[in-house]
Amino acid sequence: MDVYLQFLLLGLGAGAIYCGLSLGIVLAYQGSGVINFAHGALAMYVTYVYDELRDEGDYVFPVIGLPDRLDLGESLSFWPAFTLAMATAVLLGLAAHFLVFAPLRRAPLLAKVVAAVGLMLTLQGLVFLRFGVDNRTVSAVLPNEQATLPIVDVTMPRDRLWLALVALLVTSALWSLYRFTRFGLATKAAASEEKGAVLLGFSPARLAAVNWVLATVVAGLFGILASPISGLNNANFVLFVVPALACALLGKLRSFVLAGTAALFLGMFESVISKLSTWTVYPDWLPFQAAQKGLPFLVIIVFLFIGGRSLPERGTIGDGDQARALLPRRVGPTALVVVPLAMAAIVLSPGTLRLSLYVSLASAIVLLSVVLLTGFVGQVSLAQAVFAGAAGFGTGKLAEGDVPFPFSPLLGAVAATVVGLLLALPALRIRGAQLAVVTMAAGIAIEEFVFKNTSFTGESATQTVPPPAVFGLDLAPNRSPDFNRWEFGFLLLAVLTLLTIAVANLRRGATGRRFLALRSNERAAAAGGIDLTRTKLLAFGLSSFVAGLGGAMLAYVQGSISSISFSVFVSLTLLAFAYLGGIASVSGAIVGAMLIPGGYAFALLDEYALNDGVGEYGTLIGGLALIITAIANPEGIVGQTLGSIRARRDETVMAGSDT
Amino acid sequence: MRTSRWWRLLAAFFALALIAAACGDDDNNAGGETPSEDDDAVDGTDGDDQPDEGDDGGGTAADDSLEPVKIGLMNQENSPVGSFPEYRESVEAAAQYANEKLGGIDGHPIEIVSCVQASTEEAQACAQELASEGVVSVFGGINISTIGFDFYGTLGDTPVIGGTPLFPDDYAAPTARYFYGGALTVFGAMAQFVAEELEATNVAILQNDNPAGQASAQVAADTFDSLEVAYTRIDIPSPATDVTPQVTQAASGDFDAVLVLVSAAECGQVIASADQFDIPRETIVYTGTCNDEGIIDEFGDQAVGSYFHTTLIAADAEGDAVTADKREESEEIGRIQAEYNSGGTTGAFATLGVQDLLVVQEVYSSLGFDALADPANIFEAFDGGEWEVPAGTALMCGTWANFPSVCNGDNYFPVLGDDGAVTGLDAPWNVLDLIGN
Repeated sequence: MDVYLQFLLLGLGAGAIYCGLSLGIVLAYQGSGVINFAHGALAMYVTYVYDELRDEGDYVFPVIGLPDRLDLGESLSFWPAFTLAMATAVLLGLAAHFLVFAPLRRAPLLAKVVAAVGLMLTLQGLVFLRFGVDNRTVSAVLPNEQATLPIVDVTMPRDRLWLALVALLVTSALWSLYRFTRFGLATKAAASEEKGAVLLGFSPARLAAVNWVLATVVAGLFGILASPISGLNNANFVLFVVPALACALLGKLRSFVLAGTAALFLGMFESVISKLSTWTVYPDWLPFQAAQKGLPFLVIIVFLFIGGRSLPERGTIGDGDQARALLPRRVGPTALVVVPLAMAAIVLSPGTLRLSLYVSLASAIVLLSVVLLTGFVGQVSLAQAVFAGAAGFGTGKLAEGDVPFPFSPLLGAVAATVVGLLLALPALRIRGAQLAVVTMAAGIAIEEFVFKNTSFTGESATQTVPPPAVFGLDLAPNRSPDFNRWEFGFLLLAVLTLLTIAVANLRRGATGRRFLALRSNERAAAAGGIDLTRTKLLAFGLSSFVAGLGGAMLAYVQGSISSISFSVFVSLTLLAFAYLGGIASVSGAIVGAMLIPGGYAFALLDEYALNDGVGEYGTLIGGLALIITAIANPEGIVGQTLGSIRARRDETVMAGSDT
Repeated sequence: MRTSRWWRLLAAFFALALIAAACGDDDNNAGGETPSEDDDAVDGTDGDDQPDEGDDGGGTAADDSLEPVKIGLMNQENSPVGSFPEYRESVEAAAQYANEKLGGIDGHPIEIVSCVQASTEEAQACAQELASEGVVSVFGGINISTIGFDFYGTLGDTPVIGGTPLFPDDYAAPTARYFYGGALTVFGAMAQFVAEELEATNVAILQNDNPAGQASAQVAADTFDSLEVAYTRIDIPSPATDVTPQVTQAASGDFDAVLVLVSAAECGQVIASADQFDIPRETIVYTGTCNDEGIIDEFGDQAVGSYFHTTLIAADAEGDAVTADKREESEEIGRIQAEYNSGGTTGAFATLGVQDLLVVQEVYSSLGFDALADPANIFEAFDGGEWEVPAGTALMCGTWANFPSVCNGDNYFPVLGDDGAVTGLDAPWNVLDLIGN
């Protein structure tokens, strides 16, 4: 028993890291209603600044084009470096608020999610440019010699205990701040009802700014204290945000105590699992990482499903206008123009340009599923890549089992639909931010339990996807050295065209109207006789089926797939590009897919305009672009363009009728 | 939401910029294009079958008027999940050296056609480009993204020669020849080493829980099974928040040796934790990724006395394997790096790039320019010839049926000394002789 107690206590180190990050996430959400996917990246950036000051004595500036760094001597001691790093955290918090999230204060949740993803990429890109990709070791800040705890007689490094103590102190301080100070009470008031807070004389914008500063300072503090334990590179803290988000969610995105406690327990759970995984009776089919990373998310899903109705949505001023779901007009004639153009592009695109086109066409199918579920129904799902992956793996397995085309991708898509319907269950009870995080949690659980599980994929951890053929017609995308064969391109185009027309018709019909009614106001929709349960299940089912067909097509393009093509971060990218194209528009999915990394538009630019590409600036530019789009163009490229055209046309018609 | 015209313009600009956002740098670099005039540079006399005529004291230059030998190179760079520019840079530097001092290949200049990727999509495009480029072979580089698509199927008949195998498919590829066995062979050799050299009977394996880590750790486990050594596999997630629980298990069990098979991101943490928990250093064997300059600088004093894997016979090492010839080859590699790649990226794979290029140059030169057009000749040359990796050991391509792509399974496990140099670089350990067939 002592052994397990020891492992529980050893987990305090990891738990304290999650705690620090989850507290910051709660602060940001309370202050401005943002689920801050970038919170780990904020911690990472501040920690890099600190480490550079300690190691080199250089203060690194983030603005590209200006001098890189200021030499402050050989290396700084702890307090000056810490003070400068914390000052950076303050500035970073203010910048995140004023430049990114304040302009989005009245924007819908989706815009904030996209901006947060943009901020995460921006910070990752900055770190890549300014600090490099090497793994760093950060000097210990807390005393780290071994200590034997009295009574329980457990030996462990002192710094884990110190870190846990800091976590408890910060949790208590924030709880007290929110419980006893005018600032905290005002923030809570604004979080539950901004209009009321304004009437009471508080400025929600100012409260949000202070909360952002607090969140970033807490992130930086824990980054600096924890990085000697966790190491520092440009990926790990970004990924630590996932368990931290889960803990924040268990704290209902408002309770520091619950979030902090959940984080400490999560760290302890992970530690104990590492002990249990060495049992001889530990099942082979349950990889350690799946148990460690996946199980907590299953627990969270169950918890949220049971307690879903008690989770509050944050009240904001304004309704956060949704992107207009413009009615598709002249679908047939448009298809008659666009399809031949696409066929010409397939035939005429040389070499790998055609591969990029195929990536875009297959991605367009997945983005259609995002438009259907998020654009039309307002359900923010971060599991679309998982639906695609379920079908991709399923198609491969079925084809290997001699299930012929087209039954293998269709059945694969049916498998994705089953996953989608399972994920729809939480959506029956929760919505908005909570649903986004729950779908993300479910996505991670499936990724860990299934896609990364060699019991499922085989020892290679990859799934071969035999090429399609029907009635003796070879539809393989590649027969090396004949790459990206047009036969497959036409198949891909046919699938996309059929699905696009189907989704457009769905939007125009009664089902589409029900979807939009649900998106607009669930209570009103229910009062109007719409069966919410049935409609949500239908939306998730259809969306996951469409995503599944996209996943099957992507799998054909790649020939062999692995979990990396269908991770939760791919889902975030898909959502961001659907938003960029126009989240509520069928054609927005097509445009977004053209712009997707590795897609056609980028390949065209690379081929004909940017000979050397953007190389190391890619991540930074991508992040900034998402932020700017979220702020300046929430309708997306298509939504904005079509909206303007139609508005102009309507004005012309009105003017004509006036005369 | 109202949007000003300025914002719209800015949005449009960034939308365009976003198109290129995930773009990797498709760097087509001809390694033989810029020969140096510096005659004092490197002595190109290497004792092999390179042209000797026209020796100006600095070796023989390739004839630029002849058709170049185009060799592809695919490498992962600029990706947050892993960036290894040092491999490409060192291959290109060595190609320049070979063109200036070794007469290129059969007198023809070597042209490295580099393709850098940072994602699955870019990697697939790279593979297609290289397969269509008419290259005689492709340096496999260090590529994590290749697990996302059918890499070898895409390259078709084009041989993958050199680079690092990472995934099970890499080890099984019949069209690849790797001069370095990668993690899979290293881990098996580590198991053999602790069983036979350290005479361990109960071993803890600290391993990364990912497909590559699991596959490699399985080889260590299989080796222990065949040697009837008890072991316990302890998983470390990647990225790891805190490795202390796992290291505690290794410290608290009744283990007489610990194998550390983790990525560079976790090495420092494991070394520090192992030191904290007083695991006897002479019972710990670290994988080569921990044998990194930065890690040793930072944590070396906590690992003095432990064993670190290497395949390189370093010039400053001590042991039976460090013969005069090997010491000279090692110094030569250092000179090539200093002369042709000064200011280049340092990293774990810098030396590997030079070694790979020099082996390819030697083998292809022996074949002659015309024979390179047929991949079968290249495979035959590697499988039937007697070649040695500079500052390494003999290649034995085609020897191990279970690992057709692997040409070398030799590994050393010297002891880290106070000054950062290693001692005990004696006979190599090769587990492939045990499990390869």
